[in-house]
Amino acid sequence: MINTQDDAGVSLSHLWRTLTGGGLVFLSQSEEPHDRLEQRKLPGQVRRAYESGQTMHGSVHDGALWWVVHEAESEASRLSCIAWSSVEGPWGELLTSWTELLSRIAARTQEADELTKALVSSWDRLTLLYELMQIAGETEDLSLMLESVVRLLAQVATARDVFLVLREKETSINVTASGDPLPQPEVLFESAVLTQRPVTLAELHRALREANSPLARMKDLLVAGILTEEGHVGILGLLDPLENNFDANDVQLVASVAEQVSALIQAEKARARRAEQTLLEHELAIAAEIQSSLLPDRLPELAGLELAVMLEPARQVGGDFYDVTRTADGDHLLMLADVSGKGSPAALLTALLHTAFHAEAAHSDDPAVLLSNVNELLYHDLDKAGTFITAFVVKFNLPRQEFVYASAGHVDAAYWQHDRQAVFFLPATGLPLGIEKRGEYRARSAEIAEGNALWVYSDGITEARNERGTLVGGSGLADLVDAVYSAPVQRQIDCLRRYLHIFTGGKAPEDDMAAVIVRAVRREDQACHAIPFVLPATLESIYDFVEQMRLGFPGRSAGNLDLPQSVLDDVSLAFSEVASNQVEHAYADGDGVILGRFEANPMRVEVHLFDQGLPFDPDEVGLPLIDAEDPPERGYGLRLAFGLLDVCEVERLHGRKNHWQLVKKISEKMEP
Amino acid sequence: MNVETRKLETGEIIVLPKGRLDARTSLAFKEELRNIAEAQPAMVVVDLEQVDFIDSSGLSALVSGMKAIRQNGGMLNLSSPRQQALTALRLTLLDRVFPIFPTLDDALEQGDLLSP
Repeated sequence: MINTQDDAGVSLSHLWRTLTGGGLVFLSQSEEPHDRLEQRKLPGQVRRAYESGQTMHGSVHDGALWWVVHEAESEASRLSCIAWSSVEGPWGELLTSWTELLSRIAARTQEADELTKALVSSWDRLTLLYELMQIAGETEDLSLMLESVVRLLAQVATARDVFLVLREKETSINVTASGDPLPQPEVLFESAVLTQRPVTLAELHRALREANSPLARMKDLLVAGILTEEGHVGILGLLDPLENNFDANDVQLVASVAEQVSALIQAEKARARRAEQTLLEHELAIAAEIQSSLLPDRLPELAGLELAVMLEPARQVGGDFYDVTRTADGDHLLMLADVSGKGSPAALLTALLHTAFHAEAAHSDDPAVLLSNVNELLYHDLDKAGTFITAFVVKFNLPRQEFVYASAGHVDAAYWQHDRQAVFFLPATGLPLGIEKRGEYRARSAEIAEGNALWVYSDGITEARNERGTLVGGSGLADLVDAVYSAPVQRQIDCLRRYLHIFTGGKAPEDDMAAVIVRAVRREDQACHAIPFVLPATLESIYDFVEQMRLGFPGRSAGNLDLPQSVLDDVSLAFSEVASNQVEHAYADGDGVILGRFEANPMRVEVHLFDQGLPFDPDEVGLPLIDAEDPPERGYGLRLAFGLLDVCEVERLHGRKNHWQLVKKISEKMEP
Repeated sequence: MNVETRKLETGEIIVLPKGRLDARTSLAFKEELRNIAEAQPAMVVVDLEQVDFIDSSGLSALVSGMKAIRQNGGMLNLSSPRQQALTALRLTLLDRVFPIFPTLDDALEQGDLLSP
């Protein structure tokens, strides 16, 4: 506290006594003069003048001169002065100015006091808010946090009790500073929801009385709602048995603490969600570990056959899976399966399937019998889990040059028959595993002849969709097989990935995608350099590819592709013109894919291009007649292509795709 | 690709494109020829000596430029094409549209046509 006023008062009365030999007191409003007059009886007239606020200038009473001076300015804390003296003199003016001086000092002191009080209070509140923010770091337990909030608020607020009630889904939290739970918080909840600001007792009284709440007996109450992203989740407030105990500062305090609490709750919920996510990711990582450990280390090496696989889970762990093993008589078996479901349950079922597949293979050499036995083994677990598995099993019977296969409800496999230059689909030969306890499967076979290929894949591939919602479908897959069949299988797998990527516009896969390609090697293909390609139908991607072609595909062709530069120039220019035509005419109405293969041997270069766009109409875009006086500004591309090549033909296939064949023969005269 | 353009004292304009005249470069080249046409020159020679590749979009640019120059009362000759450009012009029958000369001097003097 500042003592300026008292110090000054003491100094002045000391000075007065020295000057006049009398006495002096300064009295604040309504102060009793007797308490302060040392050994001197206050004359009745002087007392009356003091009490009525009249001024007295040196009047003689009881043998002394008396003065009564009132400070006129300040209303709130009026200061008066009573003085006596035995010596006459011009003391009146002196006393007036002293009183005024002292009064000013007093006013300042009071102001300073108030300022100090406000400062201390706001400091406390600031500290409170700071401490509230610290709570989040101290514990992860929400109810402990809320207890801390109530304790802190009770230290700062001038209230009998502080309460905080949270309405959780399962349990509710009801914390008070006093330790007694708040009775009937529902009544306060309803009121808090209705308004965005803290509610006072006056607004609540009626509702409390109607609900017969013991809170109605409180003389003052303040309550604020706690609002989070999920809506009103709780209330926070102050209680006091004194009337009008809470002021605007308390309203502000309750509002800001309520805000802090809602931030605390939201942060805690976010943390809990993150923790759950981390747990889930951890679980998925373990499942992925299990699943990848079950995949074969490498694919079998089979005379005359080449194999390649792709497996792209949609999330960390999917249900697509492939496996290889051998039958009792030594034939290789390959399985591609799709376990319905994701995550660890799918991984566990995959592990079961893996075990059953290997165990049963040792006893049976027929894929149909194997599937039937695996079904019997897994039926109980699959039924309990309410799920199923589709699986395609193929046995490579090399001595008889045939694929023997059986399919448990699996999506059709594609079989490329080279001599007929066509794709045939191999449908399921029985129900998925886990549907019927005694599943019946039939085995079928297909010839392993040079150039024939088998594409086994999951439905994630044929059901991949583009931005317009169109599926790849069996036809899209058949088109791809038709375009790239002559290339080494690993390149075909690369093309499949690229095709899916371009077709879906680069979106993350919605479902797992798995594929196995098995192809009977064709000697002729080995002598020929086949470069399969899948290009988005844009001019830029075509020019990039043409540039590679013009350079003879550096780094991509196996062996030496010693083609004469003039042949590469002519073919790449013709290719560029034809592919540009596909972009501008076949795909005039939107995005698309251009696919095909570039094949070269010492005799000729042959390029096949496919698009799934509008039919080519030679009359519409074809070769304009050149009027030397008024030549057309466009349409020279195909004329160039036709002129540069030995063969440049286009055909419409299956009513859905265009096939361009470009052939350039290499004559012996040409220099490499 | 870049294009050099110069004007002779006698008024003829010589355009010298360099590099590849393909879909990536021919739009700019077409604009260049159209700008030249605006000055209404009597004679423009496109010297193809340094063009090592031309495709249909390059040919289109030449045709478009020639038409603009003709409309303004001038003419456009081609000179010194390399083998690839000459083949492209012949395959598209544009050798019947453009006067093509073996050298720049021939094109300026309008003698010794390469085209039939």
